[in-house]
Amino acid sequence: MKKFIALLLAVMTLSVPVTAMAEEAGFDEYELGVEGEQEVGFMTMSMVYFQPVDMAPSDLAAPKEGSDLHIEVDLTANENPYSFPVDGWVPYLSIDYVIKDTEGKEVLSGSMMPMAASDGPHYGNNIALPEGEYSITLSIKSPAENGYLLHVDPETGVEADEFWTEPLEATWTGWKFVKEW
Amino acid sequence: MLKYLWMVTQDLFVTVTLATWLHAILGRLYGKKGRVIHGTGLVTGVLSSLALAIVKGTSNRIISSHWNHYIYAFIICLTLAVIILSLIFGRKEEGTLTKGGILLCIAAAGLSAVLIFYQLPGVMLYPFSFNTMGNGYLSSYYMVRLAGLVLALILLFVYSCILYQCACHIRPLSHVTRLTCISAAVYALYCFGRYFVPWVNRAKWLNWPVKYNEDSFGWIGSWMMFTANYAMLFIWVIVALAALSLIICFAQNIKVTEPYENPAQKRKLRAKNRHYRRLSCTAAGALVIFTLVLTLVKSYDTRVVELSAPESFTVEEDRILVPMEAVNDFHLHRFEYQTENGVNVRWIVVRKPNSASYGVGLDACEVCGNAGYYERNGQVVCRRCDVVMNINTIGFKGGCNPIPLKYEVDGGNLVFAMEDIMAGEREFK
Repeated sequence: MKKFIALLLAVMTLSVPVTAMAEEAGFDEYELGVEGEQEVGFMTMSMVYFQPVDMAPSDLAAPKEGSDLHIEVDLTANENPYSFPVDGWVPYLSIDYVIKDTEGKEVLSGSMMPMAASDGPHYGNNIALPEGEYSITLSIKSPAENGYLLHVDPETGVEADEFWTEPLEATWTGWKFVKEW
Repeated sequence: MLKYLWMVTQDLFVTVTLATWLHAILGRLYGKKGRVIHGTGLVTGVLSSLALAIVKGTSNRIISSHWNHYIYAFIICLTLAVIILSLIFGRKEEGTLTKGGILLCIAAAGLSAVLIFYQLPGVMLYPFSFNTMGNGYLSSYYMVRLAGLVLALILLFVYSCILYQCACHIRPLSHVTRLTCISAAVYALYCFGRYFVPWVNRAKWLNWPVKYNEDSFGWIGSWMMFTANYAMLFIWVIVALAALSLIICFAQNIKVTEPYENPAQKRKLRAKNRHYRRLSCTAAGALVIFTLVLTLVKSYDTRVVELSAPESFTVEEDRILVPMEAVNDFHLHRFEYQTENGVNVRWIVVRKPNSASYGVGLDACEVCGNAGYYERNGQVVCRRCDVVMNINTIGFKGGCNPIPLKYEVDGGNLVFAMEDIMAGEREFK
């Protein structure tokens, strides 16, 4: 009996790391909102979220401790007059977010930071948010605000004379946030 | 400290209560054999949790949502098995382990193991996720957080020991079995809602052919959101059931009901009753502490700090003057100016320690927006992310620091150019 129990204990306990090894490494991103991918200006954008993460330098972003989730904006450029590579990431954006509950009351606002994860560069941040249903609106300001310049002379200039001046906006609704990590 | 006190209590209360009751029931039904089998489940749960925590903490091979999805399925199935098997085989305290009894023991041990496996790895990993502000593992930052976690574990352990004694004493056993089955069923209902999280969130890994649709599958989404919005309700129901078990234990020990042959025996029975009444009261006291921790302490810890009132200053043409004597006390001072567009631009001033210079910046940062800063125990803290700022770096650009605001010292005043204040308008729109 004792041998059986010891064997059972060993098998069940060892099954954890063994099963973990069998699982594909990585992390799971949850889509945010019902809209999925959206065309915003010259970009295709989607939003995802997952568990809060550690970032470095640590004083440039909200810490993992005290945060409930990490939100990300994944974006790629389409054909555009600024010569950003098509299907590539767009740098130097300022992206602010406003999260509202189902009654339209603002529950959180802040800014996304540019950063890179194992799946590439994106804008994101750790945030503290209770479980519930929300909408999130992004306000995307042009790279000019962060000192990104455009060549505008006839020989080397890009198609556009300047970046957009009013922030681009996009909203994802019906986001059922449930913390599962 | 408070944060980990309520978080660990919230994480483990249901697991501890259910596992304790199941241990008591199997012990009463099958004696030592029942306790050994259930104990095996408890040890397996703890060891598996340790293994999971190590793998999770040292690699990226654990995707919690995948594991939780299957854990919920196990909890639901094992709860059903425990309820059905206890109805069939758990009625009499026979003391001998029948074949049906073995099944009940295995189901109960499995349920306890899975409950522990669900919650304990996260608690084990808390000490590795404390934000020590770069002060290391021997700092007061770390120790205070660890103290909260350890205190919660001690409280839960003491509560479990006393609850076990009370559960072993309540007559008949069916009272305890019913309370356990109802509690497990309540928790299984909660897990049922959580089971559908990957589906409603359209996680790719499940690859389910049916996508979430509000019209066709609304009730599942609604139940999932109910479990999300009212997660504490499920815990409160189990707190109430635990309290009920203690009331039953107390009520059964007010008077001596057993037969006795002489006054000495009666005194002995009265002493035993008194002992169980005290146990019930102590466990009830622990429940009151847990209730306070999960209500008052939690709401205090997660409260939104109100910003201090803005202070006065003088406007002189296109300049704003703040008297230095008003901000020389090394405390945080907040100022606010309403622009022509009706936007209230806030900024903060704090004199730096051991220095004649000032930390000056907008009451906003690039990370948390215009949440603002407040003073806590002489430190400047971000109201949104609770990060403690280094006062000496306030005024420097970047990250969690307040967005710098230019100023000059002139005639005993800190002087701010109106155009710099106006430039901060975009942060407060």
